[in-house]
Amino acid sequence: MLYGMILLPAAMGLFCAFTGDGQRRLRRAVLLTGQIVLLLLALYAALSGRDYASPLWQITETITFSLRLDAVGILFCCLTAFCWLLTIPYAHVYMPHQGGEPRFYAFLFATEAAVMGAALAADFMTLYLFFELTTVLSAPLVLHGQDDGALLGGAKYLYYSVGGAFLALFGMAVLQQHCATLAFVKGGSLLPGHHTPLVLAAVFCAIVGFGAKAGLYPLHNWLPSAHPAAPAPASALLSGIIAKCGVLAILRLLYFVVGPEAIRGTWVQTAALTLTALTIALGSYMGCLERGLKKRLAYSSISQISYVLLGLFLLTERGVMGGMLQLFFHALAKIAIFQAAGAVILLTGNTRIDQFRGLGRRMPLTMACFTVVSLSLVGIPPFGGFWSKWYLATAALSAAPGALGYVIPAVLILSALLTAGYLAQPIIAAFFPGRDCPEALLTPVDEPTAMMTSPVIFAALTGLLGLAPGAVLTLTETLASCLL
Amino acid sequence: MTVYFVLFFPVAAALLAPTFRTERLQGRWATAACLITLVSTVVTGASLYGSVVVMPALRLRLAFDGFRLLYAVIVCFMWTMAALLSPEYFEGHRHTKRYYCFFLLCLGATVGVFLAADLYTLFLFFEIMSLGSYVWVVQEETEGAMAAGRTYLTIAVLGGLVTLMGLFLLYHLTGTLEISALKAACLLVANRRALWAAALCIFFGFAAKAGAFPLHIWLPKAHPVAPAPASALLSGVLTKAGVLGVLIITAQILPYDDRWGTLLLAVGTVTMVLGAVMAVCSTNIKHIFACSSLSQIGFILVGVSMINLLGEENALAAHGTVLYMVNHSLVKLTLFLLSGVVYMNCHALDLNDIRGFGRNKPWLHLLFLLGAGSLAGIPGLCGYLSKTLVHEAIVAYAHLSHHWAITAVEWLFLISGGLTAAYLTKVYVALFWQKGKETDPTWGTWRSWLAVTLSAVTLPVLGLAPHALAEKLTGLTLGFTGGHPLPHQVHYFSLENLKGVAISLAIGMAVYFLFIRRVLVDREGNYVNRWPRWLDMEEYFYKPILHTLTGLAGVAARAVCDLPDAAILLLRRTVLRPVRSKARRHPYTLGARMLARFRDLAHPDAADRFSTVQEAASRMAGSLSFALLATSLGVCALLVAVIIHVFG
Repeated sequence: MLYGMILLPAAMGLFCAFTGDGQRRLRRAVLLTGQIVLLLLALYAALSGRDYASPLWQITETITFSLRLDAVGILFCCLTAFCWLLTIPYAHVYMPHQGGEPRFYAFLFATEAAVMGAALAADFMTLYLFFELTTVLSAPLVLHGQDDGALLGGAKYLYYSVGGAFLALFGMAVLQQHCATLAFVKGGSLLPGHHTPLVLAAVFCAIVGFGAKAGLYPLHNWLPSAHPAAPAPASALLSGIIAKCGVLAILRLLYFVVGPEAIRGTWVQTAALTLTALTIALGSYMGCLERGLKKRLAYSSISQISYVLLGLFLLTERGVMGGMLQLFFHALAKIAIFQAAGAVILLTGNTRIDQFRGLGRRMPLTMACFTVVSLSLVGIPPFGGFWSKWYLATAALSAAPGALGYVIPAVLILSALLTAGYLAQPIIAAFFPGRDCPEALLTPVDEPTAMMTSPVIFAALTGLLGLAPGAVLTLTETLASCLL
Repeated sequence: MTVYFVLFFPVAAALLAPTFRTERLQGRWATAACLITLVSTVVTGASLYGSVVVMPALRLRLAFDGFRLLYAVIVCFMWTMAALLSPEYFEGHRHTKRYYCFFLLCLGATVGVFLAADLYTLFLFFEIMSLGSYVWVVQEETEGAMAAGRTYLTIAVLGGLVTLMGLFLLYHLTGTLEISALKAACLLVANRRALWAAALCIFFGFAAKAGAFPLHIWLPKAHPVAPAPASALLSGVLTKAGVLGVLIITAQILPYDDRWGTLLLAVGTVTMVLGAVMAVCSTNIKHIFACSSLSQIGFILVGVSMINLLGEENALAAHGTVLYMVNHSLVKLTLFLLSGVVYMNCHALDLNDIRGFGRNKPWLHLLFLLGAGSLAGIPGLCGYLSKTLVHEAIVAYAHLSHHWAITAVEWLFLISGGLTAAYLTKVYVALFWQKGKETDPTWGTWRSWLAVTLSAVTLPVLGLAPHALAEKLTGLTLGFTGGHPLPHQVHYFSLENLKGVAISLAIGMAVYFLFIRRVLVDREGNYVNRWPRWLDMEEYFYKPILHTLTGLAGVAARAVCDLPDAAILLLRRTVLRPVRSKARRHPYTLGARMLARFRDLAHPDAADRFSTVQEAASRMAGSLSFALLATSLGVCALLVAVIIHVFG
């Protein structure tokens, strides 16, 4: 079962590598079928309630490679499979304009396999392996354009991610000597009496290292270079899912290796919370300053993914709940908004914020999706993003140490304000172009249905699940109780 | 079930509105939808009176008590009247689909705001209402409208988020957001400073919506540029949503706290005087009414502060404040719809351009007098009752506290009432007595006639039956406002009470004849706006501060953000300099270079691609990332070796 969930996307990727431009329909059919099967597999695994575990290798007594399905993994797997599924029809319309489809699809699905592997990993070594694989396999997606921007973005991406992973590797090496096992155990497996400053430093290094992937300050700066360089379907997934691998790794580290008890109240928690608060504010502010559309969205990702980390660092059930809600709703919103931005770039050639004038009349559906998910990103009720912010802020008030308890909600509010600032600007220009707007900017553009399916579904989900959040809240609550 | 209908029918109707082709059909649909909502609200309210309805799937809670139901009905009524006037107003205008869609959407949201039983529900609908009404402000898409819209949206979003911060704090402190449970929970909170912080944050957002000083800047800009039916609602209802929040803070979060009442009194007094002075100076009819709203909100806030300050003896204040809110809603509905009529006929709003419009229109004349008279507090109209009650409350508190400041507030109250009379006289004389262009005696279809008439008629009805109707209505709202029932019958038309109005009107006439006619009118008899430009708080206070702050923060953010990159660059320039010459001599680059050199011979595309690859390779080979990548591959190889060693 677990092998299948990793091997299926890998096989799909391999298949794509050998299809030419003439076989687009065949490729789409195969990919859609395969992806639906994968999603059903993941859902079946989730609903069957059985405990899936499969060992891969045992090298020494403490270093093993193995897979196992738990609550966090299954959420991540389902989300990944779902997002990849919806990306297929979008990419099918978008990619012919970009060229190099076989390579693109091959690496896209290879990356999916790696993400699945990271989600299913049962111990730290396996996680690390797949974590590195996601970086290496998704780098060609960033490099796809092969122009200066793509090269710079790709180089930065590799540099930061690999460098970060090495930092994490150091942490892992230290932890390996102080933990009973590197396998994931609820509550962690830190040996009693090993709560030393060195261990804390190692944990901090690992947080910063894995944080590179999630855009955590100070290793955040690859995001605004790399995400915009990738083709839109890939940047959507990079921001929505792949960057969250860093979150996943930190979650595993905090809750399954070291254990929340060992971190709570230490300087590591304070420092990590401070870093996330800084990243949240910084990302939003840089978003306001940025004029390029995709770059602005990348800064937004930096800020929004740190919300998730914030929830994790609070080390309480409510915090984890907020983080997981944010992970879920941000994935939906960010993928939709990147896809909408991609549609704008593809159909009108506008890449800058100041070229949005009149777009609401030209591409009404795209801009409607853009607006809905923007409201979710800001955290306006009844859209999904509100719930994550609600849980995060109330959790921070009761759990964050010292003055941070008041600073963090304030930062969340400030960031929401800045988010509203940088997202409202294009929306207003798009829908209210003013009376003197030239007619040329108002002629409608044909929006391909296949391309719009995905952003429309994501936008509808953020709206509906935000309005009736019961199911999602229960789900995350169960998840949080699995961690603590 | 009917509860769902009340909330979601307007939303469904909003989504349907754009499907109607012609403007006329859209308008009729909007009117019908408003009417259906009005009827269903009344029916639902009658059947569920006094109960709380929970919608578990949506996490919403609605309550049906006196105050909420009264205002929900007023909201629906006002919307219906505005919808009646809309088709004629929008004849020949663009984007009516958008207007009607958001018009109906905001109806659902506003009803939700006033029926909300907990602060989450309230906040949810409040945000939808705030953001939806942005579309009204920018409906015309003129330069002024866009600028006003920017200010409006900024304040609305800022206010909404600060309120959210307050809700975070409040929920953290009390563990509940249910309005009826808040009072008990808040009294138990030990950390009073945090509770105050929460209350102030919540107050910020609601005060911004109400237009209280110093967050009033959006109001005089936004109300005049919006289409008249929308201005009527912005002014009549949306500001009241702000007051609703202030009432909740007063009655539930900080009850019996004198400092809160004092703060509110100060804010209210400043707003009251400022708005009135601005209205006296202005020459645009809608701007005058907008500033008047500002001033009236000040009056209402003074009333709310009296509810708090008078404690057990707040019966007069509680009755008066609610009646004041109702009166202001209905008066502003009447007056803004009238200004819409003026605009439909004259296509102008400046007093100098619309002079004499009402000269040959006796019915319009009467309707205007009803609206203006009620606002100025002429006996016999609703406004007189509310003004008298609040005035009595202030007098009572002045007796109780023996503080000179309260007496000063009482006089400012009377003076502001006088200024109200003065600016209304200014509009009245210009519109109905001064000579201007000759106009047709007909001023609208039966729909507009009906809309304005129905709005205005409510005022004498309430005003002439103080005990039978007005007091009964306000008596129902005491549970919400935390007021006490009237201990004895109020003699509205006693000499003492009439004296207050007389003083106000005397001041008003003095201001009109001595100031407006002499100073604000130039030699040719044209009205001029002598309001000094440097008093524009937005241009000369908020914007410079904001620009300086954002500029500084921008520099700081960029520096902090790029610091790691700069450090890496520094390292690469010093310690970790790439070894360039070796990379160049590498054999595979040599081949590539040769191929690139014979570009003419090879296929141009191939050579191009090759040079790109070569460039990429040289960059990657020269960078630290490549070194790291190589190391990671090496580590992988090492792992494989270990595996083979262990298993082999």
